[in-house]
Amino acid sequence: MIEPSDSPASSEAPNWRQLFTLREDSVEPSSLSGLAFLASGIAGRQLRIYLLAPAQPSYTDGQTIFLNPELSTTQRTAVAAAHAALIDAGSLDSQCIRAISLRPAVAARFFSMELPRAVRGCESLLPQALVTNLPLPENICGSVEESLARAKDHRHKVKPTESWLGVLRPRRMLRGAGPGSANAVAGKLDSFRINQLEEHDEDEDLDTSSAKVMKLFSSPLASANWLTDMLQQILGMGRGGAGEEENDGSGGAHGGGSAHQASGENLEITDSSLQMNTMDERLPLLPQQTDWKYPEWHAGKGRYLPDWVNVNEIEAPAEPDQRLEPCDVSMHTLAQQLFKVGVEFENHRRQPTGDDIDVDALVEHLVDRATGHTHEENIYCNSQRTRRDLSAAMLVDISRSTGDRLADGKTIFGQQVHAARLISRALSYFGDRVAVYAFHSWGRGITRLLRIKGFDEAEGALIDGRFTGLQPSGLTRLGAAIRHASFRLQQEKYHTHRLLMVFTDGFAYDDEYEGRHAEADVAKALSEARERGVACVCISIGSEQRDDNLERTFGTSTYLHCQKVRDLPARLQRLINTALRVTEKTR
Amino acid sequence: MCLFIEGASTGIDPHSLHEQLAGMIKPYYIPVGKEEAFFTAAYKQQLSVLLKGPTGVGKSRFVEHMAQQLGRPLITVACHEDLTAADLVGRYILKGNETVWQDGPLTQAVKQGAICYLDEVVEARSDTVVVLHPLTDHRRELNIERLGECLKAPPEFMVVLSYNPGYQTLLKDLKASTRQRMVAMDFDFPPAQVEKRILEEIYDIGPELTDKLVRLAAVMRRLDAPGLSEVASTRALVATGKLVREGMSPRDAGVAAMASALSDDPEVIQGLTGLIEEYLGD
Repeated sequence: MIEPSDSPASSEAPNWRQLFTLREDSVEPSSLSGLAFLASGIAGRQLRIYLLAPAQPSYTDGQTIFLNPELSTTQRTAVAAAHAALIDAGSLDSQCIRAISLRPAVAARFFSMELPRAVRGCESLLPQALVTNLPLPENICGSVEESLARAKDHRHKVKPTESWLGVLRPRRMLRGAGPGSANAVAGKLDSFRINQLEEHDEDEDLDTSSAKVMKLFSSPLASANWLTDMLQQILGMGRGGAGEEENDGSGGAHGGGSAHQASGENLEITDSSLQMNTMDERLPLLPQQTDWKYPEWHAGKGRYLPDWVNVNEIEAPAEPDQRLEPCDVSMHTLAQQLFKVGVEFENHRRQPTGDDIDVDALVEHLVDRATGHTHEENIYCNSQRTRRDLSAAMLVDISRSTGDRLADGKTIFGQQVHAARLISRALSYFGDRVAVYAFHSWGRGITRLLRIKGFDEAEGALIDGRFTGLQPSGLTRLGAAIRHASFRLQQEKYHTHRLLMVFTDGFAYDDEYEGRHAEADVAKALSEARERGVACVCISIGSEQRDDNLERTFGTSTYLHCQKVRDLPARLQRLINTALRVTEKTR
Repeated sequence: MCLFIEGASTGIDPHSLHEQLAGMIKPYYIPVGKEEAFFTAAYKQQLSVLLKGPTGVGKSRFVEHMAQQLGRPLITVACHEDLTAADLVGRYILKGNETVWQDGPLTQAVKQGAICYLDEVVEARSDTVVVLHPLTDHRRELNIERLGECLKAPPEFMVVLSYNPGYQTLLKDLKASTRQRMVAMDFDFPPAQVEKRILEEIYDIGPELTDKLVRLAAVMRRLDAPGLSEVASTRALVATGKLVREGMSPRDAGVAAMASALSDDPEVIQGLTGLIEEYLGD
């Protein structure tokens, strides 16, 4: 999306979360994390707590509870618990909310009806003091439907809730639950439109239109920035966006300024004799033969499109003077976890304990003892999981979207590259065979894999330099990249365990390669790899939410999402071992 | 290998030892449902039992309780990934100038007609668990290859396995051939009323604190925080109560037993601490 180096203004560009935070005039202080845990526990799903600007009533959008900052500590707890209880009780399910979304008065009555019912429903979960002190109106209702009916019926008297308990904002609720993470870009565009369209309705809802108007005037800059950024983000994401050409040159020898023209049919590149189906029998490649053609799965037609994607593998250019973006994990922490990955049993002789007696050692021991020497009784055979048996390839997505800044100013790109660097170093340290590739694409004409470290290359300053020389650009044709990396892994005959680790931010997107087509192709590429004994895992670092598409295509147990590299080590071992086990079963 | 053999390692006849112990130490257990009747029925019919459930809900305690009820010695093996078949069955060791055979816990259990309890059985290597197969079907016999012997299990002998299905699904799993030899019992956190009784009656924790702890545990068990694989178990509640009885403030005790103990992630600990303060704070 936005390049960090584009202009001074965009280096301070907030990410999406910050944009919306800014819109909500809210912050998420860490002191409220206990409250967030409380609310999550009550609601039975993960919720966040944000503070609003003063004088705004508390509400929830189904994912975040926004609190009025003027509340006392006890009141904050009460409001967070009450709104979480509403979520748990199903009062905010989209059907109910739709029914009341256009009628603010009904929404208020519904809130007063449902709040006591919801709190009573989870009374056993709440702190005792809170239950006794919560001023709930005595509206008795047995179910959501009943509350809804009574809320709509104006003849029915409903006791109002105290104002500090907050309000129901059905439209925010619909928006919060709506887009989700499945299709982030589309989601963001939708919310953008909704924001614009619904502004008036909502202001009338709450009768605070004057305050909002004042706010717009008081910070014209913030609002203007927000719009510009939004447009930039949208344009940056589009096919061959305006900013695309400016940065392409940095990537490497091929591609360059004309890259996105490659998406059409005007690029038919080299060596059509290389066929996917004969690939396995092919002789070792000569250095200049660096282009491959791979098929792509067309889900709609239910068949492969033969020789569809051109894959080009080049050595990554080294920039030894650069440094990697810092990350909060050391190689040792990762190595501790990776130590137990891809290991197999091997028989150890002359052990102090074991299943069987090592006859040679026993005889020696008895002879030694008879001749008056004393030795330790290392006379057993023992089989232990110590034999390293792993070839691993890493595939790092360096498409333009990975250049996004995270909340802490780091980039997804930087974190991914750093994590791959550490894992590569740790595995090489154990003597495993490791290769690292970065990839990006410009349509089906060029999917480029930058070879940062080949299987036969040793770790060292040169490899370090190639890691630091990477720049995010281009798009993501994931299927072709997986096919090529998997092909490289299949050439590795040294070990029984073969592992492909894909680092990506979740946008499998390229020219004529998006949505269900891309998803189906990636899934197909993965199953091809797994059938050939390559275990595949996917790791997303930094993005706010899990990516449903990735989770679906890679499988829940072989997809790992962590917000920080710090979270990676604790989960890496299980992730990889699961993938290896799954592949073993498939074979 | 961590091995707890009641009586066996001391050289005292386990039967008489067990009888002596029976009067002295009684493992407290409050039944939640029909688990006692179920277990007794399986024992009488010589069936093997699989106990499933999260950590700290009382699976091991239940087995101790039932062994005491049925008057059988209990041999517990804590399984781990390096546990081999020889660890269970036995092996030759060197003593003086000759090699001697030493029975493993499973062989001992068969010989004594004990209840053999394999805790966290999915941790063990799958080739290890296979030695249980002839013992847990109609044959009820233990083949000891190294001795060329085949032991027939007495009717009192029983195999009990336990594991936590929440831990791992794909990576570690029981073989289907092992599973289908078992009858399974599902354990979950006890209902609030039972948990209150456990804390109050067995561990003598005051009713006010008990109420707070049980509410807190109910919320924590619904949490789905990343980096938090285990939640506040009954055992953690008991630990909190015990620390409070020694004079610690409920808040500090709760943080020690239920926040820091469960996670190493500073953010998760901070969140849990905040949550604990809502319930146990002053």
